[in-house]
Amino acid sequence: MEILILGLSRGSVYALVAVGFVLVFSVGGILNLAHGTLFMLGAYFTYIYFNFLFGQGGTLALLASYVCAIVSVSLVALLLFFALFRRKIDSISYVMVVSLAFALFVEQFMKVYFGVTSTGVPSLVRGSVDIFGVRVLNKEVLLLPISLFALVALHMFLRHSSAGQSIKAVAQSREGAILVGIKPDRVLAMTIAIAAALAALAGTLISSLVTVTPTVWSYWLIKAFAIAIVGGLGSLPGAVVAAFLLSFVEIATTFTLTDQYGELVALMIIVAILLFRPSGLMSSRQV
Amino acid sequence: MSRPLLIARRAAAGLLDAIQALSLVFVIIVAGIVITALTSSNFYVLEILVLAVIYMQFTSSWDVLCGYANQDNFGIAFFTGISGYIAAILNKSLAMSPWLTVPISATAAAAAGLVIGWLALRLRGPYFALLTIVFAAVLSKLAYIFSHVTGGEEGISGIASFSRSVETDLLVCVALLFISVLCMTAFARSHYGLILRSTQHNEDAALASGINAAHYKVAGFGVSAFFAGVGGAMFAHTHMQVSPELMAGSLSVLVVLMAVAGGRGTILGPVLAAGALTLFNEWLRIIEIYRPIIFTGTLIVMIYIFPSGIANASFFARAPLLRRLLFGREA
Amino acid sequence: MTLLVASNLSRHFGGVKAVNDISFEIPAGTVFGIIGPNGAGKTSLFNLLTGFLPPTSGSVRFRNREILGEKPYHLVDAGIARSFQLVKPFFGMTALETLMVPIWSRKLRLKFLTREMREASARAQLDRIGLADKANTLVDDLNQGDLRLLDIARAVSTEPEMLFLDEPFSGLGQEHVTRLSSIITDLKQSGVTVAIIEHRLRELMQLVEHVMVMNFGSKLAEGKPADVVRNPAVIEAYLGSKGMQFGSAGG
Ligand SMILES: Nc1ncnc2c1ncn2[C@@H]1O[C@H](COP(=O)(O)OP(=O)(O)OP(=O)(O)O)[C@@H](O)[C@H]1O
Ligand SMILES: [Mg+2]
Repeated sequence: MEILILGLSRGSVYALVAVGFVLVFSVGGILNLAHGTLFMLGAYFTYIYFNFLFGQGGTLALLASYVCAIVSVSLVALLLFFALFRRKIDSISYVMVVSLAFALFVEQFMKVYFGVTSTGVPSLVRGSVDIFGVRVLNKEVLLLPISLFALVALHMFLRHSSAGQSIKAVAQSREGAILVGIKPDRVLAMTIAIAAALAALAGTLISSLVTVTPTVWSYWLIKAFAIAIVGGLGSLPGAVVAAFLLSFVEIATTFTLTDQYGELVALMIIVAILLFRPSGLMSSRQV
Repeated sequence: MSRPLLIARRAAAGLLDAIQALSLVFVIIVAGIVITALTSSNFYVLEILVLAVIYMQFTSSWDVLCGYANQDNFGIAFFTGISGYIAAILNKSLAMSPWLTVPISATAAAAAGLVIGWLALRLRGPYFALLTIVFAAVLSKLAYIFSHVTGGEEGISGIASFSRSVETDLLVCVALLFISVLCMTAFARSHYGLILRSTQHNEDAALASGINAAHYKVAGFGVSAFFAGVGGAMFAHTHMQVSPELMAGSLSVLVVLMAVAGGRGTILGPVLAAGALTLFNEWLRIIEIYRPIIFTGTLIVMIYIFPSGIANASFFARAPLLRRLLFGREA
Repeated sequence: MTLLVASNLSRHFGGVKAVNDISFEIPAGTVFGIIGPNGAGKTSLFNLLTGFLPPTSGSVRFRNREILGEKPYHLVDAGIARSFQLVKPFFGMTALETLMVPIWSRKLRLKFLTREMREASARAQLDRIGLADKANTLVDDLNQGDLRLLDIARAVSTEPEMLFLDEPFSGLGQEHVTRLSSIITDLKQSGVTVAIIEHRLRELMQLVEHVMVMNFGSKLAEGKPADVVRNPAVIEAYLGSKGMQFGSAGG
């Protein structure tokens, strides 16, 4: 039971991070290896705004710092796109390398300025609840509905808004989109900003649960990368399913084995999928 | 003439060609290091030069596969790590001399490289990148799990150095580097390099030309892993200890960034970049706290200004003589 | 003598029967044409014959040896070469380097040529297609016509007995067309058997002795060019599917 609840809440955060990663890949054909960094910045910005701008006020201040953090991370992502990626956006290798360099840079920056400080932020909710006989922290329970809400909102946005339609159009065919007068560059920028916002949301949610360290980005990047590929690169529903799958496997193995073995099992599963089903478990390409 | 003899002759001709292809600047750098080792007794300078040589070894071994096949291996630490640990264990528990552990551990790394290369054959781009990341991560997890063998977080210390003095250690390292770079240049300028380059954009046309592309890719993996392994063993026998850092993702990433900044597919571009950047990083110690920020910032700026790497900058196409001086003859 | 015999060859992609139970023979020393509307399965057929596509069923015998399902590079050793409809050059390499690649096929490697001989042979091939002056040009800077000729030269460099050309004339200007036609005639004279897929019928009909028409993966007609052109089923297939002016140089 505990596995189920933890798996769901953890999986929903994974899904938030992975969906953005996949979305950017579908639209731009690029892998943004700074995606984990954007997640991490979500947590850091929340901490910074809450402590320094809103002076550790009440719930309202916390909410405000959430929003500001998400907006700031989107701006950072836009800066990243316009300043660094656009230089050679056609080269998947260049974008991987330069985004990785950026990730290292942010890591070092954070190490120097926040390396030793604890970045804990109070949670929106306190206390804990009993779910089918299991005591769970309220803030842990909160993850799932918020994430699901964000994912549904994303789905609606892609489906029904004209901006969302243009994102889908570029993901399906860049050339076709150009023909009907869509500017793929602008669409990609928007996509990256949205993806960053989702990652940042995940980061802000996590910030009240765990202390974030400057090196945490790589852990989340590998998770997002693996989820994306397990789900079939380019498939959003695939990514969501894979996110929950991976989180269940992880939680289940950590409960039954030790931590180290749990992660080893997760890694071996990724290896197996890469070798035997490289197109992912759900290989149809859809946004 | 018999076949082995012909192949041997071809290899000798390749090495000769590689010697002619080396750049003057690289030779001067090697000579400079040798002279420093012979004359200086400044422990600090010698240690830094050892580190620079090791990084030159790492980046060139990355480039010999990835620069030519245009696949991004984000897990070179797998090979440096496995080789460093094997060298350490052989030396500590079997009291094997470094003269044996280096070839043995590098060969073991090469064998691992052949296996991974074979497994990664079908994978391209992001899939290939993820596989290499995950393999390196598996290795470091295993190192933690079998901590009674590997020493876990602490690693293994008390490994024998090449010799009793840092000076001689540096000489050994620079000699190994020189031989490695020569061999890798010969490999890259041989038909192996040619075919690896041909497969990167159009493997089908290579197959239709009668080329067993898989053979060349796996071989390239083996060569890259071998020389990365030499570097890993070098590290073990000069630092006299190995720790999980030698198989960490951050090492892999640093190697990729330095090699790409230097210019992939040129061997000497990554070598010079790794040397220069290691020294630069040490020099930055004068502003210790901001050092990592400035260092990684410099990497970003370099990659931004030269997205294909310095050695491939269009500037050098217009100054072939300068290119020849710095990076040697073009492939 | 028949060089290649395909019997009941099929390849299905899900519900699509790209190649559907085709049988034909290619006599040695001839030029064999294959035509058909877009999507008829011509390229798929070539892919089957040259080892690029695993078959669903059937058999292909080359010089009386079963070759279906063998790897492309083994087929090169056996004497089969091909060019591609969509030319994807070896970017970043020069024209000369491109033609050095086939020299390392097993077949030619075992000749143990010296460096000078290897380069000379690549230069001779470049000369033959009229690109001698572009030997050191990066393929990234060559135009579409040059690239197509270079791809054909790459195939010819493997010294094949049987050469498959997939739409070799498409995208070529008049000058290139003339050059290519004479190369194909030369090849035939030196004993190479050639199979050509082509939409530009005027060029094709001048070269071939024998034509096979494909439609929806099946063989529609086969025979001398002049007879095939008059076959009502063939005219129907072309007019019906694409409204293409048969007989004129369409495609
Ligand atoms: N790899 C594949 N997967 C699925 N369907 C395929 C594949 N390759 C070809 N097809 C289908 O098989 C059919 C035949 O395609 P093919 O390319 O062989 O035709 P073609 O005669 O060469 O056409 P064209 O004149 O346009 O070159 C087409 O319907 C195509 O969509
Ligand atoms: Mg075709």
